[in-house]
Amino acid sequence: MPAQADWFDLARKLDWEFSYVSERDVYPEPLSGSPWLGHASWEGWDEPYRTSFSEYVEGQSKKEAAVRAVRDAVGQVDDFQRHDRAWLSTVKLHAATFSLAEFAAVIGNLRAARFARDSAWRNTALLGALDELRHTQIPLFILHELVRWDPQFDWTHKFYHTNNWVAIAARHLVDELLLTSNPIEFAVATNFVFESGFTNLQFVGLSSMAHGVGDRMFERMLQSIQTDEARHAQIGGPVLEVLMREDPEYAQALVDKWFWRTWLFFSIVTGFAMDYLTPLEKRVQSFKEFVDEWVLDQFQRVLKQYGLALPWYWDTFIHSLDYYHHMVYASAYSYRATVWFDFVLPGPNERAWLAEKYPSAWGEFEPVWDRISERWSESGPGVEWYVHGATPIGFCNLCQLVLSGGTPWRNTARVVMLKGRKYVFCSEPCQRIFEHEPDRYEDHLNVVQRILAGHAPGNVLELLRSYFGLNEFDWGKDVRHGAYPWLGAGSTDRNKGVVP
Amino acid sequence: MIPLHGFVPGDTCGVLVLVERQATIATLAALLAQAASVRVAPATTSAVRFEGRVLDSTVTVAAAGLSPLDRVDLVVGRR
Repeated sequence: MPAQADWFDLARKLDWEFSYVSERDVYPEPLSGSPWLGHASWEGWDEPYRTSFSEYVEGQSKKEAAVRAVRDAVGQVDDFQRHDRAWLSTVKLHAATFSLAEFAAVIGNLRAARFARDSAWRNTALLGALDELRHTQIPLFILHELVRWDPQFDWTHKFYHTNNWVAIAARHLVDELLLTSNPIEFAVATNFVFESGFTNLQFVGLSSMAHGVGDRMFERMLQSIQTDEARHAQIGGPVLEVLMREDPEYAQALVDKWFWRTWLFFSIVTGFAMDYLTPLEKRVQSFKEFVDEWVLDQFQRVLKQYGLALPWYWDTFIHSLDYYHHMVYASAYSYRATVWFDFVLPGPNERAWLAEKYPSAWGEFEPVWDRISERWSESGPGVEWYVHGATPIGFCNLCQLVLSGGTPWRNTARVVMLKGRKYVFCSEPCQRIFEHEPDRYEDHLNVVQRILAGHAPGNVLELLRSYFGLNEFDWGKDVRHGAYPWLGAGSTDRNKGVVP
Repeated sequence: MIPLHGFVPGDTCGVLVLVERQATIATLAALLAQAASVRVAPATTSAVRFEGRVLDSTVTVAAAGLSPLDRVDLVVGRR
């Protein structure tokens, strides 16, 4: 048997010239991506992490065994029942938004496994597809058992098949990012921006929080997935190198677009978890501190390494670190029955912590939580609807998320006329991304447009029952139904309830 | 009835209010305040701003030139 070093390059790097079809026919531009370049431009493609199929299978098998062992030991229903209810919302939020998104990533990787322009790239993408299939199956497998205990876990599988507003937004992102993009856009958007830029935050930062709360199952699941992500994320760099050589303007446009689009999604999914849903005494760092440590330094360094500039909206992005996920959390808390997971009301100690972590911004959120607390004090525990919005809210025509850009005192939503039609965007980056490729986005209806077109009911209760796919058993509630010891006379004065 | 994107100072998201064309701007202001009332305590006085100008509270929504899905902002008498 020859040593691997003797045959490996031949196996991973096997390209040939076509004799009876043209290269353009084998790799048509709509499927292989732009700019269309002959193979000579791609033949230097080289992946930093090299693995043979047998090595891959052996490594994955060990990882699977480790996940199953942890599941058998600490991943049963009674293990999850011991966790804080708010923390479980972190698991529900991640499980729903990521599980089938990973399956969409299988499709994106398989397209690259066929239509990417170099054999080593195609081989690496094929392993990436197998990775993503595993990432789909792990949460479906582990959390399925929990459905009989808590129907909200059913959203692990159900989420992307519903018209829930978060699902509409997630699908709008995932369909474009993973399901339909060509291998070049996929490599830059998914492998470089999404996986290299943000998944460390997700899988390392959040994993450390799972460790802190004692959720060994979620921690193991995240770590196991991260080891795959770290490998196949490396596809992005070599593609970006060619793109920067051949069409740097396009490379910059892709990075600008996808950093913003994926940032909004991560800010909600991870920001909620780190700053609200993790019990205060178990928090390691604030969401902003995690972003500072795991995203900003590293991503700016990598951009510079490839000769890319910071996205044009960088100042807006930095500003949003202090505001965006807080804006959305307070909004979603007050519309919690429209989603499939529960929310916690930040108490005096949590708010003191948030004020310390977000000194320049938190003062604008204090009156909002004072007001919500006041409503609970008026109604008493259990009267969820008294502390719940009844008026429909607006949604951005690009990101499909609530209009929560800017700050409480300066919301950045803007209404714009394009081709005789009125659109609303939550922010300037969303507006400009839309305007750059209007044909791609203009026919998609946001929730409000669906209501106005008669596709969805305007009454909020009817909307969430018949359109968002929720019922009284699985729609979101306050985790304590408003029964907080610190709520009561004078409880809206945040200084009175602080427990030393 | 026309739908409008409404924004209330101090609030964390935009709301969608439905208002009669013949309703006054004062009524629209009250609708906006009510829509956000779970998160923002109603103000003592309020007006509505559209495209940079504060609207006369006695005119109708139609007379003020508002059309479906315009952005309107509540202007409140505090802070």
